[in-house]
Amino acid sequence: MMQWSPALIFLVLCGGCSAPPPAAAVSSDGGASDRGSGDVGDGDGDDGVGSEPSDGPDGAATGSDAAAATGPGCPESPAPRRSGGTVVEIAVQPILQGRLMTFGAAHPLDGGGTLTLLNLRFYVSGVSLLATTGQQVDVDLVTAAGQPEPYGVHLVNAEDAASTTMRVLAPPGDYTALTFNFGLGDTCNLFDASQQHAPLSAASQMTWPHTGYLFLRYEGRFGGSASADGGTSELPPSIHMGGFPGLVMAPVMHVNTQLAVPAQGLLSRHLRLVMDEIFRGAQAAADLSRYIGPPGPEAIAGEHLRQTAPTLPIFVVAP
Amino acid sequence: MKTSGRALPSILAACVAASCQGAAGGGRLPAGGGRLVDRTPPAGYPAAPLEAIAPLDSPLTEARAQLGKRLFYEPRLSATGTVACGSCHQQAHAFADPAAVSTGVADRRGTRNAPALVNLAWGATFFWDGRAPSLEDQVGLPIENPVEMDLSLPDAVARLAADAGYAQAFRDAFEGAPPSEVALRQSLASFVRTLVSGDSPYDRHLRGDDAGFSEAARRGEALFLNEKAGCFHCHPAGPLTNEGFFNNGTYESGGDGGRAALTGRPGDTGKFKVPGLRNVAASAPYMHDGSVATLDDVIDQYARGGRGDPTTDPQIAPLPLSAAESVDLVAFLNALTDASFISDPGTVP
Repeated sequence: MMQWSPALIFLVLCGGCSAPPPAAAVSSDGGASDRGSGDVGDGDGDDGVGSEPSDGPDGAATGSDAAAATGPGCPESPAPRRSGGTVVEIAVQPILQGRLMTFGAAHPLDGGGTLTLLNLRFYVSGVSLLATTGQQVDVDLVTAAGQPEPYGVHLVNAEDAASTTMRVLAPPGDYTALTFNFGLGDTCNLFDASQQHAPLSAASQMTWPHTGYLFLRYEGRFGGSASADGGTSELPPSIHMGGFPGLVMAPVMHVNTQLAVPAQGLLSRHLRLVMDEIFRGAQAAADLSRYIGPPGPEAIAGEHLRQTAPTLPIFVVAP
Repeated sequence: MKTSGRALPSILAACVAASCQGAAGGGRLPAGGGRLVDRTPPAGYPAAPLEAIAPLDSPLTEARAQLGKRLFYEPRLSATGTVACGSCHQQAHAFADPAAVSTGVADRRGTRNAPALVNLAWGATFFWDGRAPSLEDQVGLPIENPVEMDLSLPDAVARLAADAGYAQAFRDAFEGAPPSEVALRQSLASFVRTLVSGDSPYDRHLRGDDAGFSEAARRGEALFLNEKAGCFHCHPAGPLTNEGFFNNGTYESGGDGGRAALTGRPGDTGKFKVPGLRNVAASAPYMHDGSVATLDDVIDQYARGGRGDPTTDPQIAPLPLSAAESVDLVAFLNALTDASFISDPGTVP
């Protein structure tokens, strides 16, 4: 199968029309580029999620915020978007049928059988919080040391316990929702992985030869009698959700929650990744009439998920 | 790649690498140069010089790499004085062992195939089960392994310290310090770091030179990188390894459990490290136990969907390959051979 370059993809979709359309016009539903300024040339931390950089509830934005938000590309060492804030730790926990899943362990299924997580990893980027004032507050993903994450991106990898906790630096205040790209924003998704470092190198296991990156990679193994597992062995054993730069965007997830970020100290929350909804999305009805991606079943499942993810309660914040 | 090991600002490293890559193809020495540390990154790898990606606490220098080369071929690092790293990791075989499993001191046999040592400077973890997080951790273990070289590192150091030539070489490479376990590890790791291969027909193809890249190899590459063969799921273009651990269908019940023995996770049963594939045609036999003799047999195993164990990764499924397509895949794999790497006079005594 030929490799699809963005230029070729454009020609296929537009029949060779003379001017490239704005990215938002050809993006699929709910894609990251539909949000915010709509300028997919922005730095990854801002493209598609939230409005232009805004002050937090206490006006903590720095003078450099505007420059960071509109800077080109996806710098490996992004400038912080605000001068300080409180660390909010978010520990990701995969759950299935209401029970926590442990990577590499056989998870018993209702009705019999088991499911073992063999690979589960996904990118998070472009995080923002919705203040009770209605203001969208862009926040930085930061390392345990408090520095902006490389490329403004966090890779959650269920195999690496340390990576399952991500951190954002938030202005103190009250918030009602967490919003993020379930994947990479468009600027980072353009990269040639060969020249990138973690978490955008080939060792992320998130590269594929179809331009850009995978947003989510899942592989699992069902065990036990198919007839006894309540039909779950019919679920896809692998889901590779990816996108095409400029055309097929990462889904943007809105997670309602109540967050009271203190002025000092630390706030910790769990973010449950509801695998039931991942599977539901991977099998939900989706419009593939304009699907231009690879034909493998895992990629098809991924495209179903990508289109339906924003409508599904895939993520739930818990204390 | 260890992000903590980048000794140069990335932009400076890129500028230096650009000038280096302009002078020679990836993996090759600049014209007129004979230094091990001057190997240039191959296409498909980050364009930073080797010194920039070495760990900060184990800087790469020519002196350390050359000392490491001497040590690599030094049989006195074994209990019997008869087995060196190079006894099993043979240059003509891309520094792999042409035997299924290696034979150490006193004819003791191991259980896993000695892997090729190619482009490990960019590796994330080492050994088939990934138990070594760095080359410095990896290189000492075969020396101490009872079925390999069976010599404690303190005893190894004592032997080196008693040799005036080695004592001086260590002082020259380590700012006057005598031989030590750390220096021994760092020297060997430094040499292995310089084993860079980047001038195969595939590498030249990545650089835009298709003169040696046959049509069969081109067709094979297309199969490799699309869903029909699906090799890219573990062997992405460029490095040809995603440094991950997968059960590729070689494991059979009761056999070597691979990474599960390290992690204790049942889901890791039969998972082994994805090897890079440069010079794969020279490094037979294949898989963690050397149980697959030829590249044709490798393709056959994948085409069947592995050996049928239920722990096999779900991505390993029977492939709808025609006989001609199998031939093309093998042609692509053959195009990964870098003749200059497996005959480089600079990496043998």
